[in-house]
Amino acid sequence: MKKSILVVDDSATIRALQSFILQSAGFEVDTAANGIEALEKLYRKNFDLVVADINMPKMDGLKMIEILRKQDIYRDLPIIIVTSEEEEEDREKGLKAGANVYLVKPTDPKTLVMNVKMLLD
Amino acid sequence: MDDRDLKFTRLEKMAKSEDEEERREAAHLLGDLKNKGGVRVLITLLQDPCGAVREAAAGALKKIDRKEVIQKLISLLYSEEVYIRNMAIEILEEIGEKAVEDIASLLQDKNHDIRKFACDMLGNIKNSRATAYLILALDDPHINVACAACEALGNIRDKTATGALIRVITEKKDKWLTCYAVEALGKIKDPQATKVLMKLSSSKEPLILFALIKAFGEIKDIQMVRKLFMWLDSPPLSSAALETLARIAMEAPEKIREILRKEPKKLDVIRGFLKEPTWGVKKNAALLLGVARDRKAVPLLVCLLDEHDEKTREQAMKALLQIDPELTGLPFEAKENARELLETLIYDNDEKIRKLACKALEKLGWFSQELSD
Amino acid sequence: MEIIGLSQKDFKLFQSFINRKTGIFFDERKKYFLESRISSRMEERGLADPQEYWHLINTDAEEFSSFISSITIPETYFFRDYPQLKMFAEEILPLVCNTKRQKYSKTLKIWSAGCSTGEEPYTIAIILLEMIEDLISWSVDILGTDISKKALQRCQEAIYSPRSVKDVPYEYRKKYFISTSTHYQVKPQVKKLVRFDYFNLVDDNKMRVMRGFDFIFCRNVLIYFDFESSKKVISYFYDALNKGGFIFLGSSESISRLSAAFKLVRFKNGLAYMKE
Repeated sequence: MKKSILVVDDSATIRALQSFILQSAGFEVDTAANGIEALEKLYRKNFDLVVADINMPKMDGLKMIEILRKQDIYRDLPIIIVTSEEEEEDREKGLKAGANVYLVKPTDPKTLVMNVKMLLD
Repeated sequence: MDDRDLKFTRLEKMAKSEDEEERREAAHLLGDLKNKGGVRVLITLLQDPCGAVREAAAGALKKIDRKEVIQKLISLLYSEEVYIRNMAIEILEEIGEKAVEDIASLLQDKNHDIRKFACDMLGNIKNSRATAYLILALDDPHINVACAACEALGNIRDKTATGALIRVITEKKDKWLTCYAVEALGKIKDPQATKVLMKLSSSKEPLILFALIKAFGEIKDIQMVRKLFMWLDSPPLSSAALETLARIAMEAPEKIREILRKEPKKLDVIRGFLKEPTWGVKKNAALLLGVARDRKAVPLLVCLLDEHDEKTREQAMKALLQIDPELTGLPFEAKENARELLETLIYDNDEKIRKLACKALEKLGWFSQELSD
Repeated sequence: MEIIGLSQKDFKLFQSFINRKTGIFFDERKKYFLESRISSRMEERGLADPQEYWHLINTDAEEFSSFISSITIPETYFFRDYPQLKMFAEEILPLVCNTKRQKYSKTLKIWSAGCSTGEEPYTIAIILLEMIEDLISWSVDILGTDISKKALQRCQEAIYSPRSVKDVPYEYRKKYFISTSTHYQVKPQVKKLVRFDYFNLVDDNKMRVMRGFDFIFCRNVLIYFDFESSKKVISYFYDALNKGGFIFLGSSESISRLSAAFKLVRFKNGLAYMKE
């Protein structure tokens, strides 16, 4: 069965491009435009991995990850952050919040897919 | 002290209450009072630990039409806290036009994240006064800022940006930037871009082709539509091409019919998609077959009336109505299912569908509650 | 009855009037429906020109009320959206009640906003009777409100067709309804837990003073409202709830696009939104 990924980003362009990259690599993809929408989708359906931006309205990526990690069922859910912030302290914040991998935009499609596959194995 | 000052003093105190409901109430009321001191207090409440208080403060700030609101919000963009930055962005976007010039000045900021936020905000505000500034930002040394500038220009849809975006493509810059420029040109829909976009369609880079598919769906030049039909045979682009063709079929069905008349074999390909398990593909194929009035698709469409996904069932019924308005191809067992679908379709966005659904219901001897009242 | 078509101009007049007065937004798709309702009312009042009718609903409170009653469609039935009610009954209600028992504060205040013909608040009453063993020692107030006076009348009558009770579990039908050959009537023990009132959700002054609710049900109501009105209503609902209170919209509705103030909580049987 195909693994399913949730892509979370407030940019419609990013959602479309990342979906395309991941679908081409053989995954089922759904999207959300902010942290709350992402939680609503996650709570309703099982996803195998989440790819999320940090800067989003209504609920940012870090907050979303914090909320997920507090719940047993999502403690081990693989989460990749893909964001434009490239400072070391931002990376530390992201990993501390509970992300597994921190990638900086623009991410090479091969890198993204490689990290996804690595986390899903 | 006059009445307003008294009120403000009281609200200022309330805004420091231990009780979040009181702080929230203070925020609401400061939004009505709209005085200068209130702005300061609301900016503090915008950083309150309680989400409901922050939300009330944001709502209040949006209502206050004062210059210092914009300035103070811009200063929050430099905050260490992600949620504060994001709130400031949200409110600035809602303030909209009045903030354009202040935000545009951020495009000169040292910090590339600030420059990127500025592009995003200008794009969401959608005011064309920002176009000239964003065109300059296409040359920003940081790739994310340049991409954000493209995206913003696409959202603003101002044709004066066409030339600059075409240059981005012809100068063969970074592939991501090319994708963003392609998408923006699609949204702007300037036919001047057709030539350069058609030339780009011989690229081997899947991401660029994907961006082109979407842009072709917006511009809908007939050569582009023909190209989209060609891409139906090339996975992984085929489902994107199918989706785009479906969208074109809704807005410009004659273009679809024109191509299919000359290339009827494409109908076989589209019919094949009715069996695809991936969500969305069946729905798009059904839509196209309906527009094409493809009689051969009727039995396959009847099968789709049992689909799990509601939108697919609806789309299949719409297609059947277009091909076979009297629903002669509908077997007895499918009739109950059909009735429910038809009762939904009498409220469809498309007037033609509403009429077809009504007629079908009448013909089959069923009337909806509202119609017979 | 002949159905009078509305010009685009007249349609927009009625559309914005309804939206301003009730929050409800009738889009293009519902034009035919609106025309049929207006024609029906016009025939009743002996008018021939939609503009005349427009003037009437602006000046005559009673006709306004009849008009509103005619355009709000009751689409409700008992135990509508069973999984959500199951979550409420089996997971959320016990949680809230236990907290209240510990605080020695055995009161429950529930609001069914947009209750139409009353099936929802009566359903809630049945759930309380079933789930709370010591209900007799509780102070319970279930308030059902709606903007249609005609619907509110039906609430008071509490008489329902077989279609309305189709999703009521058999034992409950026997226990809480008196059935005749044509209809079902809600028994007094259920009726006495519920009161009804006329209430317009976009009336700021009235909304502002609503406080102290443990649960608010507003299911499949806001879908008829425009975005700005929905946001405002949700904001008032937040203030109307107690801390630890829950709001329920229809399962396919999402609060997140309207407000970020509520906490999204996950339960076994679904998702719910709580005021922290």
